[in-house]
Amino acid sequence: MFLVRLAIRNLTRNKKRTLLVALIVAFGIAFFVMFDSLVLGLERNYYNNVIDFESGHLQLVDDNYWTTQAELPLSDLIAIDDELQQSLAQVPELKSYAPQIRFSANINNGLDELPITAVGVDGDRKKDVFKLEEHLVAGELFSADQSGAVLGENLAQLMDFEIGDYLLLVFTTQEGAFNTLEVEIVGLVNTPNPQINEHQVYIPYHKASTALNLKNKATEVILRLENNNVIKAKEFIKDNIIAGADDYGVYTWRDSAQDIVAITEVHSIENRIISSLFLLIAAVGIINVIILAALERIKEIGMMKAMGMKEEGIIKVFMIEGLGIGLIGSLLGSLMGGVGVYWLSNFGIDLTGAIDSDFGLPVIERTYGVFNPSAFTLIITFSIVISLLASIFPAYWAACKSPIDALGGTN
Amino acid sequence: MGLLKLEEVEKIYRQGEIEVAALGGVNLEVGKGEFTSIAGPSGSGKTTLLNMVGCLDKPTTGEVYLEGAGISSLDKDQLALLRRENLGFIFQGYNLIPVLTVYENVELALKLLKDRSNKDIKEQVMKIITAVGLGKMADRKPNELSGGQQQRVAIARALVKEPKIVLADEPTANLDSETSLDVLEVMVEMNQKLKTTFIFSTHDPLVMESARRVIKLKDGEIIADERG
Amino acid sequence: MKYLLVIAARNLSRHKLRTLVSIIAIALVVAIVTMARGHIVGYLEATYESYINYDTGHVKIVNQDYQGRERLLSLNYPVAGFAQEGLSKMKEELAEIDEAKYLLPRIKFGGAVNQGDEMTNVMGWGLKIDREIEAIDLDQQLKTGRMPLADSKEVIMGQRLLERLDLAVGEEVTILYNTALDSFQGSTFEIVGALETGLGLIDGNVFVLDLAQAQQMLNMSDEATELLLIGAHRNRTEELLMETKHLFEGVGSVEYSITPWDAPGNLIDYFKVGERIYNVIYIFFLLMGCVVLINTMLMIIRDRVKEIGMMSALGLKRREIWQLFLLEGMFMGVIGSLGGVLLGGAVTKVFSVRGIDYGEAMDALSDDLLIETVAYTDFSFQNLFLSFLLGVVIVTIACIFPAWRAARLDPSEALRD
Repeated sequence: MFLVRLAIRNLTRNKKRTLLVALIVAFGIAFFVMFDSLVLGLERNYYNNVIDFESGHLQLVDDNYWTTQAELPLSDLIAIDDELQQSLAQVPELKSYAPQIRFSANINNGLDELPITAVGVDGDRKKDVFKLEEHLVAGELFSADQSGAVLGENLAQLMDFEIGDYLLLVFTTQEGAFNTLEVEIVGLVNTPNPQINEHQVYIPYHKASTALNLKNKATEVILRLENNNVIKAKEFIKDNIIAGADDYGVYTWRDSAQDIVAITEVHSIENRIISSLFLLIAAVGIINVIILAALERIKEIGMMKAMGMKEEGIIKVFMIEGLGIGLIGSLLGSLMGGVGVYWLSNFGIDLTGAIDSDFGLPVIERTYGVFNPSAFTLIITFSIVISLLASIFPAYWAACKSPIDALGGTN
Repeated sequence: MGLLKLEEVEKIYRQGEIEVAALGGVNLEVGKGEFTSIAGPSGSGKTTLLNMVGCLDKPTTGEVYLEGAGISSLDKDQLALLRRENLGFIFQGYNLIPVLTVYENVELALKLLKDRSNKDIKEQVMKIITAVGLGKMADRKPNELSGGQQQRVAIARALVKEPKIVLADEPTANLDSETSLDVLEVMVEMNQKLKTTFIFSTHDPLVMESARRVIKLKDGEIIADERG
Repeated sequence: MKYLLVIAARNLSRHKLRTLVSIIAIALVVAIVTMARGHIVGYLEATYESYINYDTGHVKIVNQDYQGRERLLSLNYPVAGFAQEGLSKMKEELAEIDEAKYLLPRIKFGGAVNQGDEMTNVMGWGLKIDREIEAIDLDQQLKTGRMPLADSKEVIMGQRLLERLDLAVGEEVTILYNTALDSFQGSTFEIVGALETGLGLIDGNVFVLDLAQAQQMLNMSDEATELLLIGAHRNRTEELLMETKHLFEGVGSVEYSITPWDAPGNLIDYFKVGERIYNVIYIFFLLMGCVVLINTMLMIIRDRVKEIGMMSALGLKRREIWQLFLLEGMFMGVIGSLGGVLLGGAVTKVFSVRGIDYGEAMDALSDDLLIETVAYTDFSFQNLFLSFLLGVVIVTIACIFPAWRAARLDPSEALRD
């Protein structure tokens, strides 16, 4: 206890020096937790985008279709029969489900053509499964028995479309025959998901089904649950639906968001590297402080040795000082980081500009940080370990100077 | 007109709220070639007086005249120039620059002065080093010399630029009596040879003996001014 | 001044460990900056180059109505010369511009490959092959095969597109497209080469054919969808842009928009903002390294109080004492920066050859953006020199304060026991 008190007193001898090095530790910690918060926030935005507009919570898909879905094939489909519908209705905590048909088509305005993804989806169910209604900027969503098309505002602008115009979809059917479909535009949306805004056209399910001659088949069934507890629902589907049809598979939104896993992984690695660099500099700072302190106190150390203090004790004093710097830094860093994270999670920042170039997450809305206590714990633990490790070498160096050396030291 | 004149010099140090008068109204004149010691117990104001004379510090009130010119109107850099040209210092702790050799330590004093050729400098430095008896040690570093030898280097450094006054603050305090005598002899010799004015503070009776004039200080005031 | 240099240099060896730790700290931060700069500059250079080569040129001329609709790959708003007099005439006039080294007319159009019951959308680029080789070394991007000959029914395709279509070099492919007159056509080409640019957008979607061939089959004789201007260097874009605009104004042409590669609102513009942010981060890192140095300097000054007093007594001016300590700090800064640049340079050298593979993470993006999935660091003398300079300058600035503390010491105080 005496050693601890001595170490604390020593740290206050040169407050500015202690504080400066502690600040480096603090910057490292603050940076880490803020960056982490932002990455988690972006990740959450993206996940919501995927759940709200693309995959729902769960998808029932043919396994073969799942692997080739980027090419939007019209093979390996799901047969929508009464039996399936009944089973789907019984999925626990289900909010709603909707079969959908995604297919590749060219959208034509009479002048130009653009390849897009057309989505045939049941009008009424769509409202429950996707969050399109909240993001309508003009018109309305079509209901089950209506005809009409809904598309992104940007896409409409690009093609010079307005509500009430007719758009022409050009596509090939399952048999490889060319077909066209003329639909009146009834609604425009502007969602936080650029994929939807730029590349998708929604049309009624029955229209798509007839035009493609798919009979009662869909490319996938999207399920939305009352909450994010997908495990129970997934198990239910596995036991009751897939058990009867080998080829079918059930995939969660997480499976659909594989891209983001890779991207956020890169960001976390980035974060860890940068924070480690902060702490590396802090480590050199701590080594330096202890060497300087030892040099200043060289006579004192000699005196303590002369009084019979063991080298071990001297090492301990210096290591406690190193630890002290780490602790002060952690405290300051947590405060700074805490304020930063609070600010990020309450006010958010607009990363839309940076998204395209740097962050690489397809999200266009304000990003709010996420408060993640485990990031604090992780980085603080790490900082304290670094502080201790950094102080071992100089503490030994200081303690091993012989008392005669120490007492007679000049320079 | 004397070389150095102090007129009603008072120096007050502030330590927080408390004012401490280190010198209280000192009047003093020192002529050219004098070998003067300022004696007194510690705390009597010796060092402060020496600092005033050495233009290291300015008096709170009163005036110091060097060759008739007052110093209190000068700024720090002008004082530095004044010291550079006119004053040499010898300190109790030698205060040599440890990374420079004996030669370089002495040379530094000359390098600060402009308008000297390297050849002149070399000649002058070697001459003074030889004069203080260290001719063979010019290339040594201070930590390779004994205390007495280090102080000789300091003397050489103070004298090499042929200053008007050499100020020495307890020059023998760190030396044993034999070495002290040795060093004193060098100073006396130099005083006689070069007619340089020496003023030094001391409480060493041995040093006082060798001085022709002894000024005694007590509590910041001159209590005696004896010429031997 | 020279004696100050000598003393400052020798002072470094007074306490070697203390000096060494400070130098290591500076070396570390400078190495970090060198590596970070190498990485960022390499990444940006590669991205700028990709955009300039494949999208924007140094200056891009398109039809007013085409702008903002690039995605449509419309053939209805071509570059067809001043007052519809044809592209060749326009090129002749543009060739008069001193700053313009290359003129690259391009036709970008949409097409599809039909295989069985599956349609795959592809993007056709009609290029003047020989000019593209001269200007952007397009032939260097060939993985196998050769470039298409002029006026031939030959194409090269992105390697990933070939894989997607299950085709190989030497085989034939039929591509369906709409002509400028909106008639639906198909042409069969021989695939003579595979492109591998490292850019997902190109490798996975694009086929390249001769411009004249494209003009003929798309009914676009003497027209292009865009005309790129390449100057001597992208730094000189301003001049190139001015001269081009001047020429267009002189002719009284208003139907075309003329955009530089770094126009505001472009993706590149965001990168430039990013570059500025990184510069602030570099300085921040360097300052943290300087904390170590400042701590050491302050202690050195405390140690040498008497020495400073003595020097002052000897007649050194405050400025000279300030310089003495500044020099000592600078020496540490120079040695540390040198070490840091060597270390950082070695690392950037390794990664400039090996590259850092962002793999899947960038794959997800690279379909839409011209960004390579493997990032090569920039190993250049310029980067090393700038990092070194930045290190020395920041260290020197950081040492001003402690050196000033030393100079401010009162000689009478400093000499007191």
